[in-house]
Amino acid sequence: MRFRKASSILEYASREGVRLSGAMARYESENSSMPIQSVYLKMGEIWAAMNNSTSAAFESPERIELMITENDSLKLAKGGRSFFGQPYYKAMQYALSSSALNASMGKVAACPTGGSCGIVPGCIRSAQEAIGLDGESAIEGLLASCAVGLIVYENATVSGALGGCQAEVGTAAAMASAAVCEMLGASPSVCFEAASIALKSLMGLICDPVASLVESPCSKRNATGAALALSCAEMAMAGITSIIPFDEVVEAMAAVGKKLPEEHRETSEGGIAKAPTALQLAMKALGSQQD
Amino acid sequence: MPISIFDIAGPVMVGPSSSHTLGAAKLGAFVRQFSAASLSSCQVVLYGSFAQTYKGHRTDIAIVGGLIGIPYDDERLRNSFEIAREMGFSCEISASESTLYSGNVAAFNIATPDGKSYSIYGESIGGGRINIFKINSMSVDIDGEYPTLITVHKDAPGILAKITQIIASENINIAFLKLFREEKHESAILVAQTDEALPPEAIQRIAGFDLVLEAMFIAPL
Ligand code: SF4
Repeated sequence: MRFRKASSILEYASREGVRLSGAMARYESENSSMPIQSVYLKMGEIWAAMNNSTSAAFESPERIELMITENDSLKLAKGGRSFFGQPYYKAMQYALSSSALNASMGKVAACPTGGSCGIVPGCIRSAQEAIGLDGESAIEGLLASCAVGLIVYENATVSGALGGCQAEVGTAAAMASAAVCEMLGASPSVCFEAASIALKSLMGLICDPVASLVESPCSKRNATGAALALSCAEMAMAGITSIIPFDEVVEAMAAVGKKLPEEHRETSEGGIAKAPTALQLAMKALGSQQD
Repeated sequence: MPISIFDIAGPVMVGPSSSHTLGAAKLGAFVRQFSAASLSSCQVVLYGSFAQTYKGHRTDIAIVGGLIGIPYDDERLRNSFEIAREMGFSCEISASESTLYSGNVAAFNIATPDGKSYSIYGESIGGGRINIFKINSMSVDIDGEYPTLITVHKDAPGILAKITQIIASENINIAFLKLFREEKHESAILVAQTDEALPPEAIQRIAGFDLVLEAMFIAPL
């Protein structure tokens, strides 16, 4: 079974009368000859690793070893007071935790990449707590998010080195918004509306890691990407649609990625990585090996 | 091939980067298996984007971790340098300024216990997937996603049939089979990806053939 377009997934889901999570579970089961039940179990294992990563930074701060940024997840955990809403705050706190753990060579689940690994788990865990859902809902959310990631994989790229940060953080935010809609009981098309809005919002984002470390701007983009994903889910759940369908958004994103100059594709030769302070930090962190 | 959803949400790995850390660890793990885990030293040259960003992305730490057998989802990976030192494993890693390769490429120079030396070139192609594209001067194409038999043998009639017969006698199905050779009647490499792992006795029987210089088994990375 192969889906190259969101439109084919939507068609399949409506023909078969399944939700987005169900469609993706069947997709994997058929291609890997794994029973559906095993697909859910395996996704449960991925979720367990993700879930652990969302609290590692504030529950076991000794596991965090960063070169140029600080343990910002711990700061949010200690601050504990949100001005604009607890679910947003928590999503950022969790996303920052996974991101910091990733940068510390800790155990995470790529989603879709290591650099963007906090966004989907942060949103899913926060949504679970906010709505009072069980563990199974996280797995359904994750499965639905894979529908979005799959279409990006098929038509564009999820690599910052090839397509800029829109490919990593942009895709992750789109995936997360679809996951949250699924968890809220939305139809497959609503999930893709949310994903379209998210991907459009981050279109063109460049990859410019300071000192070639996956710390800055990566970790805070995980936090803001998570908050953005929740915003997109809110809009889609209220019936707001993207006037451009998801497949066309992905096509546009692929075209933009190809046009990004090499400086803006993970080489640390452009963007914020070239700011004077960034160069000083690079010098300090890595010595003279990097310029 | 359709993409697995476990390559989208997943894999579970030690950070920070699927291409610079996970892929790098897998390249190291391939070389370790290629040498039947017998290495006590290795020389590695990094090219392209590996050479530019290896310190920040911890590519060097991940490669050493793979070479000494630390799984890529094990947090001990971050201490691979110290663990290698305790094991008496020495690894020399350098970055090449050559523009020969632009991707994430690493070349491993090793000597196997029976005194043969190999240069193995691999690339991390994104999402934690790898491709071994050159062994010595021979172009190959190995992704390490299946149990894999690799033989280095003399290019002569009949050798392929002998090898595949042993695989068949184990009742193991070959998923993909590829042959690479430098020139007619020179040395050649066979890569057989199978659905299940070949037992060590079968590998030994293949290694015992006259024309086979070496046979090794690589478990999925
Ligand atoms: S800036 Fe680059 S390295 Fe950092 S998260 Fe974005 S794509 Fe990944």
